[in-house]
Amino acid sequence: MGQGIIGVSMPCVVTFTKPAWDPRYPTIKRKMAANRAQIPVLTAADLTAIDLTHAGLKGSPTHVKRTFVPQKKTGGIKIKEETGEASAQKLFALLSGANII
Amino acid sequence: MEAKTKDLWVLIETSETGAPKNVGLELLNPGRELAGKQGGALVAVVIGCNTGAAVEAANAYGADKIIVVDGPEYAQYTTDAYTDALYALVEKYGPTSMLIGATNNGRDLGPRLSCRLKTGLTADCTALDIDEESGNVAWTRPAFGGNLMATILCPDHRPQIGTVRPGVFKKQEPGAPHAEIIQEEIHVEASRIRTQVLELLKNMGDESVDLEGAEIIVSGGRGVGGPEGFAPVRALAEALGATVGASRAAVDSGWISHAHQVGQTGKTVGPKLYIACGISGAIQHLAGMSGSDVIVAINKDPDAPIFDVADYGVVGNLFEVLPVLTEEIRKLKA
Repeated sequence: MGQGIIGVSMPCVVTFTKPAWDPRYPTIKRKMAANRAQIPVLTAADLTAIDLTHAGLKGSPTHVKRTFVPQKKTGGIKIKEETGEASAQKLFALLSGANII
Repeated sequence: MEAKTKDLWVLIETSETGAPKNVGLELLNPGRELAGKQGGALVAVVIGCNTGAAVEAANAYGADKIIVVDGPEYAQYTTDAYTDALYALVEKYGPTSMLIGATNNGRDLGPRLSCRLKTGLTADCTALDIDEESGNVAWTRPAFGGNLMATILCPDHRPQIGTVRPGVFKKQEPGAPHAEIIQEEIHVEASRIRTQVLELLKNMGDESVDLEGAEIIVSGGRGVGGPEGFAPVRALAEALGATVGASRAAVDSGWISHAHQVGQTGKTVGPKLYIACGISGAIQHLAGMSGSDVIVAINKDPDAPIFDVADYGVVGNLFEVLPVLTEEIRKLKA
């Protein structure tokens, strides 16, 4: 357990589960610049190195055979007494009665 | 690539000391049944440095055959070395299917290998079987945040590869070793390995958090409100002889270390008793603990999704409930 510091040659791809920082706040200046921005759009026609037979649903080696809704657990016991203390007592009684603790 | 055998491979991931990680040994369990249904052998693949213990473990946990690649370049996991080695083995032996533990390394290696082999990968599977109609492996995994389950096949490409998170399957009882052991000399040129581990920073004290082996876990979530809020959680855990767990919300807020995190980006656990305190029950947390035998939830919010999976749900304030519960347990054990 812990962390590693890894050196990597470039070009490289770096992925994050959760970065250690939050997004910046938008400023008026940046919002205005965003409205004016020209954003180039690429399509498959521009990315000629991609073999389209390997792309999309048709190109996928895996197929979904079936989907189903997972079974929801039922029969849970709800405890809501007048006070937290009373609820705790009831929970304790149920758990010790069922030999769970 | 064509399959040359009907064998099922399980990657036995090793640590930098060469010891086997549990997940590979766990996967030998479902691997046994799948290999049988496929009509092939259960093959453990060990890649690492000083792999003696890992080979022994794979043998004890039921492999028919063990292919070993041992070398200093494999002591620390790197994408390039492990992909090269595993690719070379797959090319040579042509298994029908392969299971890889979805650890940080496994989640890196699985996709890399499947792309190089131009084959399919199904990630984070929760159930494995053989599709009777086609004889293909049927990989079942959650979709749409767990609201739907999908069963997936890789019909025309080989090997069929899937990853499974640690704790989804349990290890079988170890038995008498019977495996044929094959040492493969595969070495990867240093120049081909583009990442290098420069330094390892160990977090002191985190090694002692054993969530995966715990029989009882008491977890705290956003509802505990702060690091001090964990005090009643820890007190209950102590009274029960339990391990303390946490939801991602509590870890991200800095109230407790990541070593305690249970969930999709934390550990998957299956204790006899899981007590969730102030945890709403987001899908990602449930993914990590829904396999527990008995689930108890304590939450102020009666609509919290955790109550859908709890065997016992207390709608109440955890700061009122936990101390009383702890006291009763202490009296019981006295």
